[in-house]
Amino acid sequence: MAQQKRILLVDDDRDFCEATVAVLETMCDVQVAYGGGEGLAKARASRPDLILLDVIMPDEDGFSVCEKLAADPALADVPVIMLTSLQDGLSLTGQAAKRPCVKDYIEKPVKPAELLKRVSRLLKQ
Amino acid sequence: MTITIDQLRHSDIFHELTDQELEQIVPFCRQAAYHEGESVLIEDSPADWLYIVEEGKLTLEKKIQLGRRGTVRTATVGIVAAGKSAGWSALTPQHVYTSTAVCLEPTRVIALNGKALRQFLDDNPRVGYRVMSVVAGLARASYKSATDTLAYFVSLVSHELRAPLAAIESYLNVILDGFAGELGDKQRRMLQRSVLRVNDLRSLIGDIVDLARMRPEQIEADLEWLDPGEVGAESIEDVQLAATEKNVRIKIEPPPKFEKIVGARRRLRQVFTNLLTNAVKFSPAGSTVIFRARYEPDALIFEVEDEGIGIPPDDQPHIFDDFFRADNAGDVPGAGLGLSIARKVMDAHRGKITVQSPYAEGKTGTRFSVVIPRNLQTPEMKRAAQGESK
Repeated sequence: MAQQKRILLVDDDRDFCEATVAVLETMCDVQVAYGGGEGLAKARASRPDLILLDVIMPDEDGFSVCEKLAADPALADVPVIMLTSLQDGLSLTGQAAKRPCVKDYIEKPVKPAELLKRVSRLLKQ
Repeated sequence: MTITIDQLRHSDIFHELTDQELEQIVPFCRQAAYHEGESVLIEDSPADWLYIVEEGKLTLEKKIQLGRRGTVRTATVGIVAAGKSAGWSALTPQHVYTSTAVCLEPTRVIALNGKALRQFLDDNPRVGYRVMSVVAGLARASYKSATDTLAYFVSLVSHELRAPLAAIESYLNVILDGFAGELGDKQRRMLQRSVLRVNDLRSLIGDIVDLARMRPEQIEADLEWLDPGEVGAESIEDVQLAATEKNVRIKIEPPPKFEKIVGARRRLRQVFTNLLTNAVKFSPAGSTVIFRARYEPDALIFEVEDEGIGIPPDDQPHIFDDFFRADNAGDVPGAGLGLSIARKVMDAHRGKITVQSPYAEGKTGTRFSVVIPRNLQTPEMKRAAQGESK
């Protein structure tokens, strides 16, 4: 039997994480980190198949985490989906486009069907 | 009690003057004491006196009314402590106070006769120049503090209010989609109502942030090739739940084929969503809202028509003003920002947004038309064109 795919969700909002995990765990293993530093540590420890990464976090923002992932040969090719609030969406597309590991971005709040569609697409690649 | 030059020298406004110059100002001064809660100067009244606080504290308050019929509210815009001055309007035309100063505690002030002081500064231009330079510096610092506060407020609103809202909406969506167990009909209906109310709140926060920081150049930088049919469909999705709840049908009348245009995707969606939201809000149950698109040689035109209460003719010239709400808007929720934002977005597209109400004889209702020019260029196209012309 094929091993279940593993996703790392990095977001400092615990409630947002709980809601998102409820959706994602129907299709894969989900690990959660509540900050950029913790996210990097967990990514290095377990090398997930996909990372969902919040942009604004108090300890280390999503773009900084992205750069550190890209600089780590073991993690550089792990695809990342950036999470952002609706109104930051446009400015984010420009910034995200400059970072090769960022494959997609999802606007908060989570819409379950859309989240599952985007995540499945990247996990299949 | 006689005023001494020391008392004047320690103020923020006269600290640069010489003893001799201060001596000349002393005759224009008198001392006054006020109780807690008493007004020292009143907004919109003639600015006859300039004040220096010697002891105690004043709060500066301003009447703020947003929109033609908005509620008048009092906002605190500053605090004047000992050694600081208030009532600079006594020195600057039109000599009318721009705020009200109220004592926060028992307060003693030096009051300087504005007319006599102005005459003295006119007669002694070197002194006048120095005093007015100090006043300009104080005004600049006060303005900077106000704009810094606004910028901080907007960033706070932008993230700190939206983040918890995103968590709430995520929970609601996840529960409604069945990821947290089965729901009864009543629970589902209540959660759907919650989604609608949260959507309204999110739009309001977005509108306030947009009002404070939306700039035409930012919209121009976001211009890209897009499928207007897709953007329209997204807007319909934005309002579908509210329309279904209210039993209002949205009828789509697309052109035979949507051709790509240049526009700012999220902003156009915002315009269509704002218009459709208004149409649904002001429509009676069981009525139809028409969302139509058609091409003309130079423009793509979107129209939103409703069978609602219409907009009174007197209000029509004002509906695109910030915070304006029509007389007959009644209890329908809204801050009066949707149309003003729509107009700003269309201005940045060098397009138009117009209203007809009523739009057909013998009918009620409103038609909004949005005209998007077909000759807009993306930033890349502009750069390429500039490169060729060099």
